[in-house]
Amino acid sequence: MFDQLDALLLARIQFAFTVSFHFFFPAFSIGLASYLAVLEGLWLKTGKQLYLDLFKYWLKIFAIAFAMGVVSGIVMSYQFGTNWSVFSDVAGPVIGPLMAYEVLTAFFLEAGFLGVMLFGMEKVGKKLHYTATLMVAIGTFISAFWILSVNSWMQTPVGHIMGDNGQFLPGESWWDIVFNPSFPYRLVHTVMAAYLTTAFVVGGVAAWHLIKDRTNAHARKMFSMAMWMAALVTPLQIFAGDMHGLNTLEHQPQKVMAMEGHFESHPDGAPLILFGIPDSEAKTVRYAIEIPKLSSLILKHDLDAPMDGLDTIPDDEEPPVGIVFWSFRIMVGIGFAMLGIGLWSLWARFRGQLYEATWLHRAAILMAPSGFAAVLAGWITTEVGRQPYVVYGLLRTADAASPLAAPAVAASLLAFILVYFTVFGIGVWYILKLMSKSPHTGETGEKRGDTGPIRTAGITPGLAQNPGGEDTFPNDKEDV
Amino acid sequence: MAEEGGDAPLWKRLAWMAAIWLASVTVLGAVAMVIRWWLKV
Repeated sequence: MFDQLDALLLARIQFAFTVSFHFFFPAFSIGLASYLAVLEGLWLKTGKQLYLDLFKYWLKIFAIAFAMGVVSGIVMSYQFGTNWSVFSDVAGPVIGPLMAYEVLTAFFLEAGFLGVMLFGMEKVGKKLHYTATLMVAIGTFISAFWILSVNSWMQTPVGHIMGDNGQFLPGESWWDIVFNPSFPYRLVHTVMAAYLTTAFVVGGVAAWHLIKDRTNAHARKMFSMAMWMAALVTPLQIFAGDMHGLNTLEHQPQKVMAMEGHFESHPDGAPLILFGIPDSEAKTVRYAIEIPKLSSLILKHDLDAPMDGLDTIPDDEEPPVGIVFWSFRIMVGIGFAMLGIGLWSLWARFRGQLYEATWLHRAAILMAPSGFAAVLAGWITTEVGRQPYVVYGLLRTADAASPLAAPAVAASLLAFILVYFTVFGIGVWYILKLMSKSPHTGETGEKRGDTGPIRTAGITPGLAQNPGGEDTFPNDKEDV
Repeated sequence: MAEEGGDAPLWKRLAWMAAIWLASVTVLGAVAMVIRWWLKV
């Protein structure tokens, strides 16, 4: 049945499928771990029950997302051995130790202390519990650090020497390998993307509950915090993305040529092609809508700066232009939509309408999954843009695969598709179910009416009673 | 979330922390082994 299929193509599809599935979860859990640390820190600092409620609400969601991220991540690392054994053999001496650090971090910092976060409050006390929360938040960052260092080395390989047996071996300094030229840019851009992904999920969930009840104090707090992140971090992310692009132009010019759709060189300034349909056969972008010289201005800060095109490189070095061209535009488009939401929220906040702006809430709900789409599009841009190499300029993807027959790869691909959609589908469904409930529900000791303080019956009002403390009152100044 | 743990002696709370941490790592190790076994089959 699978004899006619190409084993290499199937292995690539399998890796793309599993890494895409996997990437959703760390993109969410990296930001959520830090959000939990902020919430618990605010609870310890202020003593307000509201922060503890929100911490508990998001902790359940974090646990499920984290579990799915770890399980799908384990599959990823095993896949290096099953489908990419030549790559593992050749690049193992360089990437092996870095990946081992990532796995050790995931096991001993993230997973270990997550147990304390989930089950330890009554046993270890507040301060040790907060220490565990910080360990998980720091652990997610350290994991990202190592795995992005590996990926960046594959994009901009330096610091190694070639062994007589054809292996990449560590050179004089590991620092050169770890802090390879694209790593700092990729780390900053990816981690901020994770923070924004989480912020927009939190903002969307908060907006969902605000539309149902504008006086929901928990939703107001979440919405305010999320919109601050959108307003403050999105401009920084766009700036970081621009810097990353300039770094890519320096070290991986073919990728930028594909992102820009520049099939031809432009000696007198290159246009910025906003939209069009790249045709790799005809070496042109059909129906292109372009702004003259703007690409040169953005990438070289000079309107007339010459820009090389894909015509300067051999055809067999060319990445798939259509995929890179469109995934890049999806990422950038979502980034600017996020900026729009951030600016809109600032305007609504300035006018004192942050919790009453129904259209802003609807837009926030619509944008809730936008971070996932953006990180996936960004990842596709950088990974497909690296083709046809797995270690840029040094090891071709076609030379890195295991010597497997197509039916073997196809069978495992089918198994992955079935298991992933079943297991992770159930997990995502449960997360959405948890999110659909208001943060009030299920939290202890603070549930109260939202219309004002409870009063005793009779002609003379009794003392105001508020079982949840004053922080559960709806408050127009619920900002952080 | 109760805070009774804060009243217990530090050594006891640290012991609980170590025990829960170890159990969590063990569970993840078991999951990793199961996945490895599944991929080898």
